[in-house]
Amino acid sequence: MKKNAKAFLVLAALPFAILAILAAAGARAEVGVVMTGSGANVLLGAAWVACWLASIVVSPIALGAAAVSMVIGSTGSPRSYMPSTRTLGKWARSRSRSPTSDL
Amino acid sequence: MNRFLGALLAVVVSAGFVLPTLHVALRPPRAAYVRTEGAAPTMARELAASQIAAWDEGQRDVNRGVNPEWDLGHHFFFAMGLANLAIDAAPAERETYRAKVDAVLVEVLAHPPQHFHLAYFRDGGFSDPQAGSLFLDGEILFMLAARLAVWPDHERDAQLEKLAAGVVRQMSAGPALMGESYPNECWMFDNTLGLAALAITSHVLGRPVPGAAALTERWLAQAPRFVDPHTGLLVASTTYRGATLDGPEGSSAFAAAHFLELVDPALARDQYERAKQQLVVRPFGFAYAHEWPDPGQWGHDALPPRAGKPDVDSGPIIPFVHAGAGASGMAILGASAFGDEALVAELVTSLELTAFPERKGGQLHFAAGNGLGDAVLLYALAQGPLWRTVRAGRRTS
Repeated sequence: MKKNAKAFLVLAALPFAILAILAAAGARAEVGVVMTGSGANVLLGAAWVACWLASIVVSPIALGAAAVSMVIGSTGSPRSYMPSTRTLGKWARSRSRSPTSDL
Repeated sequence: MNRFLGALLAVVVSAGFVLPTLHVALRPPRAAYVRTEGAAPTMARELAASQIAAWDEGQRDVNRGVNPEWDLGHHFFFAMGLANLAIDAAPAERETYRAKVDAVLVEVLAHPPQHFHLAYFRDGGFSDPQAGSLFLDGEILFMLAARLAVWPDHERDAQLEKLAAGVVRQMSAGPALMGESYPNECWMFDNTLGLAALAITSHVLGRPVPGAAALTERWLAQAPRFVDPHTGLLVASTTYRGATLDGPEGSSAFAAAHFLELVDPALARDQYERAKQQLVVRPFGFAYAHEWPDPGQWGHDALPPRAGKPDVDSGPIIPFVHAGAGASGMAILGASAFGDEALVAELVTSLELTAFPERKGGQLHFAAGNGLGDAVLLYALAQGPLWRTVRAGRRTS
């Protein structure tokens, strides 16, 4: 689950990283494309809009998912609470050898 | 646990918390979008400041390459937003706003009608041989009437009366009482705006405009013929004889409801509620509007001729969710006009998410829109005082 958490953290950071690159390319000034759908840098503006929305919506969800994955990872899966058959067998044998086992 | 299932569980849990609470982080304070203690919403004042600055910098043409109508739309909503703000403003601000409203009127009157119309305005003849364009003539009448309602100047009453007579004549001449804006094209937006302009004119003059009351009465009596039977909404455009061209549209329905408030409040409220029910979507504390109602309601009936086809009025339609830029902007006007604060809040929150607001030095501009979008929002949030003034005048008379 820690692998999931790392993947989610990368996903959360990705839109911001792309936004930084797009900002350097001047995409921020092209967001008017949302209304007009025309202009020389339509793709640049559309990319900015998509990454911006991703940074607002997807990133917080990914961040939350990373947190949830960490919690699942630290507590383990529900099955990890249950002793395995082998462990139960060992416990049973140790109980049978114990002098107080019949108490 | 399987890694994939773990990831899925994490996303579901996280989304279950983030999506319903995202609007809380984005919603502006209430005073930004609602009139509080007589003061105009702060967003309206910031939008006005930004647009006044743009006007002073000489910016006039609003994406004329896409649609010259947007130019007139911008001038109209900008000026009418200022007229509404002026009613409750301090004297210095009132004077600033008056100067701008007058400048807009001069600007609009200085251009020939073709300047504000798409190319096919010139194609073919109007069915009414004396027609100008109700789109242009109605908005000029509305702007001048509002200007004189806020800043009376009896020397201009004769000009107002002449313009009003032209609007009454154009609408009354039509067999469906619908004036043309393009050859054989009559728009509900323009015709309901025309009726509201005549109501403001009567208020300004202090007497009825000849023929206006009869026209309004006849128009309202036959309004049911313009109602789409599948949705109960007024259609967006008709031929000169009254046949439907465009069925109900979000970019028209909310504005028509707002304009009808001055002539038939019950019909106006009914149209607003229907438009809200048919067109507005409200996910997770956000809201947006569709341009067209669900076509499933037509069943086996034929859809209106141009249904589902984006055009210069609808603006872009966002794929998958089918959110209409024009419809969503006009939904703010409808919600604000009918005191639907919860919906205004949700629509404004959507703007904060998707329209890229830029606030600087007390000015507000939405980078994802254009001048027309900003002007519509200014009017949507500022409107109210002019309607209040006209209604108060009726009560005292």
